[in-house]
Amino acid sequence: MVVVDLGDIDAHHCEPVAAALEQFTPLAEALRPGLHAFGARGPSRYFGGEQALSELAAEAVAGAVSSASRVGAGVADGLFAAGLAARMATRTREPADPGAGWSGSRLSASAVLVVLPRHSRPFLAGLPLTFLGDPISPLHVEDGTEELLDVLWRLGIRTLGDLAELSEADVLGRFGWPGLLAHRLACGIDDRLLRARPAPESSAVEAEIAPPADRIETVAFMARSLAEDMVDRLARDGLDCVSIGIEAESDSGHASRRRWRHELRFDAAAVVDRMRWQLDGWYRSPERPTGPVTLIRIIPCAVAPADGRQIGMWGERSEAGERAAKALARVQGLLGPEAVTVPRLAGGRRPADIGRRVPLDTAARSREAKRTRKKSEPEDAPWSGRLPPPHPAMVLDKPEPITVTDCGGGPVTVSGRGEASTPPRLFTDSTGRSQTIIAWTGPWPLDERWWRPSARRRQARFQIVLDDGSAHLCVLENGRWHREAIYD
Amino acid sequence: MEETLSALLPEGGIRRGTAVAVSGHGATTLAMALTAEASRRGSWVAAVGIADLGVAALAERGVDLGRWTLVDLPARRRDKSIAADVLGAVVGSFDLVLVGSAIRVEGATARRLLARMREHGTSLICALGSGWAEIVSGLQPEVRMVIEQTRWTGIDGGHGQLLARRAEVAVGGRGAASRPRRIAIWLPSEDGRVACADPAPASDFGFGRDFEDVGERRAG
Repeated sequence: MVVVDLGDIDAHHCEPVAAALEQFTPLAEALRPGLHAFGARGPSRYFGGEQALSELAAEAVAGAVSSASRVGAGVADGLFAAGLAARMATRTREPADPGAGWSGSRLSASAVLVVLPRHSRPFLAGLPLTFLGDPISPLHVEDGTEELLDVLWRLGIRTLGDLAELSEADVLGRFGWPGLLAHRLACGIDDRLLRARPAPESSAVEAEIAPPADRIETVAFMARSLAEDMVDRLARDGLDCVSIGIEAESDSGHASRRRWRHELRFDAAAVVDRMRWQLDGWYRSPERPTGPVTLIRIIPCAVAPADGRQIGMWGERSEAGERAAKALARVQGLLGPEAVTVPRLAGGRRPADIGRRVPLDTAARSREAKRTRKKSEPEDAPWSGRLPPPHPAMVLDKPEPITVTDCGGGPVTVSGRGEASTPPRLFTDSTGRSQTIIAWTGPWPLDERWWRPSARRRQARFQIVLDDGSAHLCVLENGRWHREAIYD
Repeated sequence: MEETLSALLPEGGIRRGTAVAVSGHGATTLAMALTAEASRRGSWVAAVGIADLGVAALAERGVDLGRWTLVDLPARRRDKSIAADVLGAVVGSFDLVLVGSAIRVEGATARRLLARMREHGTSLICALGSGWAEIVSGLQPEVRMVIEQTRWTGIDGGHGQLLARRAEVAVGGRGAASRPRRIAIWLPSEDGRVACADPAPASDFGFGRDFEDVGERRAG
C-alpha cells in the first residue's frame, strides 16, 4: 500500500493530486483532500520497486501542487502503517538503519519512508499512541476515541508498542470494539483491505439532474438522497461501503471520475462530502466543464461485512430519529437546504454569537470535526463583555432600527466616560409605535476587535423595560439605536 | 414534566396529538420550557417559522439542543400552502412541533393537520407572542395560556440588570382545561428556572394577596 500525505490542503487541490497519481495506477483513491492511497503491488513491478515507485509518485504529486510543506509518501503492508510512514517520512532526519526493517529517503520536494513487508509492527511500536486519532486511522471518525486514548494514557500506555503488548482478550474485555480495533492496528494488523471485496454491480446509483445544476450545493443536496439510498441498500445486505467511485457529467460533455476510500465506512454525509470535494476540484481544474452538471453517479467499489455499528443522523440510529431525518429532507426539498438549521452553542459576546444556528447539512458533516471544534471555540470560556443571564428568548435576525429619546424628546447618547447623557424615557419601534420606558440599565460597553481598525465595533448596550412589561436589548452604535433582542 | 409546568397544564402534561397555545410577553420562554423535558427524554422537537428564536435561551431552559431542529419559512414564501406542506411533513415525524405567529393555518388545512396530529400523536405548541392571534382557532387548542402582568425584577432607572420575571398565567381551554385558573410563575426565576411564584412573600404582598382572595370569594 502506498499513501501520499500532503497535510491539510483545500478540497480543490485534490484534483491535481489525483490526476498526477493517475499516471501510476488507475486505482488511486483519495481518503480526503491531501491523503491519497493506492495498492503498490501492480505498479511497483513496472516502476522498479516500491521505493522507486513511491519516490516517483511523491515527486509527481509535489510537482502538481505547490504545497508549502514537504510531500510525504509511505509504503507498508496496511493502510494505517503506510499512512503513518508517509507522516513520518517528512519528519525523519536521516535514512533509518536498513536492518530496522524500514528505510527513508529525501528528495527535492518530498520524502519517502518504506516499511518492508511484515515489519509494520516493529515500525509502529515506536510511534506515540495518539496516532490512533490520526486521520488515517479508522478510529478517527469514532466518537469514543478521545476517551479511549485518554484512559489508555492514564494506564501508562504511551506508544503503539505498549498497546500491542497487552493481550487482545484483556483489551476487548475492557474497551470493547474500539479497543479491539486499536489493538489490532497497533499490532500492524490492518485487515480493512483484506476484508473488503468488490461491491455488487447492481448497487451503483445515479440521478439525472434536471434542470442542470451549476451550483455545487444543489448537486450535493441531490447527492444526499442518492447516497442514502446506496448506503441503505448495502446495509440491508449487511455490507459497509469502504470505497466508492463518484462520476459527474456536464452538459458540455465533460466528465469527472474519481475514487474515494473511507477510513472506516461511508455514511451518506461522508459520500456527499466527497462529492462536494470532487466537484469543487473539477470546476477549478484546467479541464473544468463549461456547462452545468447533468448527471451524478455513485458506484460502490469495495464493501466489507458490516460490524453493526452504523451511525445515523445526529450521531445515533433510532427509528424516531430516522423518521425525523426523512421529514427534514422533505422540508429541505420544499424550502431549500439552508432553511433547516440546528441550534448550537458557541463562544461569543453577542446573543447571536453565543447561540448559533448551523445548517443541518453542515452539522451532519462536521461531526467528524467535532473534537477539534470543541477546542477551538470554548463555549464556557469567560468572554468579557458577555451579557449576564437570562439570555433573550428572541434574537432578531436583523436588528430593528428604533429611536430612544429622553423626556424632552432629545436623543440619548453615551459619553466618552461610558455614561448615558440623559435617562432614556421613550422607545419608538420601526413601525412608529411609541412606549414609555419604565426601567433601564446600561450602558454596557462592547468593544470588539479593537486591534483591527477596519473591523472594530464599539457598542453601548442597554436593557430596557417598557410599560407593557416587555424587556428589550437595545444597542447604540455610531449614534444609531437598534433593537437586537427581546426578552420574550 | 417539571412540577411548575405540570401545574400549568390541566392534565399535568401536554396530551399527545393536541395543541397548546401560549400568548403574552414571555410566550417564547414558556413555550421553550414546555419542550425542555420532552427533548431531554428523547423526543424530537421542530420549531417552524420562528426565525428569531434565541438559541442561548433555549439551552438555558434546559432543552437538549441535539433533539431540536429549526425550520425557517422564508418571508417571501410565507404563504399558506408552503407553511401547510412544511407542517404536514414535520407533524407525524416529530413528537413536538413549535410554531410561531407567522404561520396561518385555517379551514380544511387545519382540519387535515389536526387529524394528522391525532394519528401520529404529535403535539403542537403555538407561541403567539404578545398579540392574541385568531390564527390558532383553526387548530382548536386544547389548552390556552395567556401570560399577563409581567414584571421584571433587578432593573431600575439606570441600575442593576434584568434578573427574573414574575408573571401570571391565565389557563383556559376545552375539556379538562375549561375551568379557568390563574397561576403566578417566575419566567424565569433568578436561578434560571421556570418556577411557581406563589405564594408571594408575605412581607411584600401580604395585604394584596388576602385582598384578592376576598375578592374572588365575593365574585363566586
